Amino acid sequence: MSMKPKATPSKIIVRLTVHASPIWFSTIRNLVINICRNCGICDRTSGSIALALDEAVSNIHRHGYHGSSDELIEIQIEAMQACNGVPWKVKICLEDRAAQIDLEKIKSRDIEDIRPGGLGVYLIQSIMDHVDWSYREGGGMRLVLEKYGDPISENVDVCTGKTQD
Amino acid sequence: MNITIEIVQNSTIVSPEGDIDTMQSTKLREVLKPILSSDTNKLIVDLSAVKYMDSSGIATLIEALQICKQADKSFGICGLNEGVRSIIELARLDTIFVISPSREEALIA
Repeated sequence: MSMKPKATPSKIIVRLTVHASPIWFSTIRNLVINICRNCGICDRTSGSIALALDEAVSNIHRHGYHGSSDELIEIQIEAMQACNGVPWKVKICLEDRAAQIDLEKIKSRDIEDIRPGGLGVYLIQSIMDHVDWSYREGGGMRLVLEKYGDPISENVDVCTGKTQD
Repeated sequence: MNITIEIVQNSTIVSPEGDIDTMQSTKLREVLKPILSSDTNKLIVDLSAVKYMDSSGIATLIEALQICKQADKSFGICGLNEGVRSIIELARLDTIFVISPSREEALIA
């Protein structure tokens, strides 16, 4: 009896190092949106992931590097298509060389307190399924963001050609 | 970023175009500043040509809303696309801002 080979999902890994300058932020957003779309992730979710990444790089620029655009941010984006019933997954890792801060101090502000500013961490945590700040080896901070496809959403399973249900 | 300013019936309509992110929100804030201190009765930010907004854009709108409240002026936003609406909802500001589908409706809201 011959067995049909199992289809394998396509996985993309993109690594980039950019100056922490706001002039690069829209390029980074568009890159992650295109990667997500190519993995079959809907436009709304792709846009949300781009927003979370944008908030993360903005925080590094504003708070980590105190507005300086001379320092570097290393970004790794890994995205895997939905396949054989396993939902898609996006993992983004950001590393900087900013001063290490007390991890306990990184927290979302009270959202009911209506005031300008301080929304970045709240948005990142609301959008992503897993958010983890840690210390980078050799100095600096490391942030890992993960988002997983919802098995009941209508994202196309690239291996079966069906929508996940 | 292009920002158009129109004065209609004692109201000022500010229409930014493109993305309101860290880089562009400063420009929007600079445009809003003199309008907020002018004698306009109502400020409307028409977001129909805005494709993307981050937390710095949200902060600019909250700032404008608070200045309007203090000065007893009305403040509203209109023409939100799905992406902009979703960040406003995520920040739970959809009940704080007066949101209208179009500028015509914003003028009478």
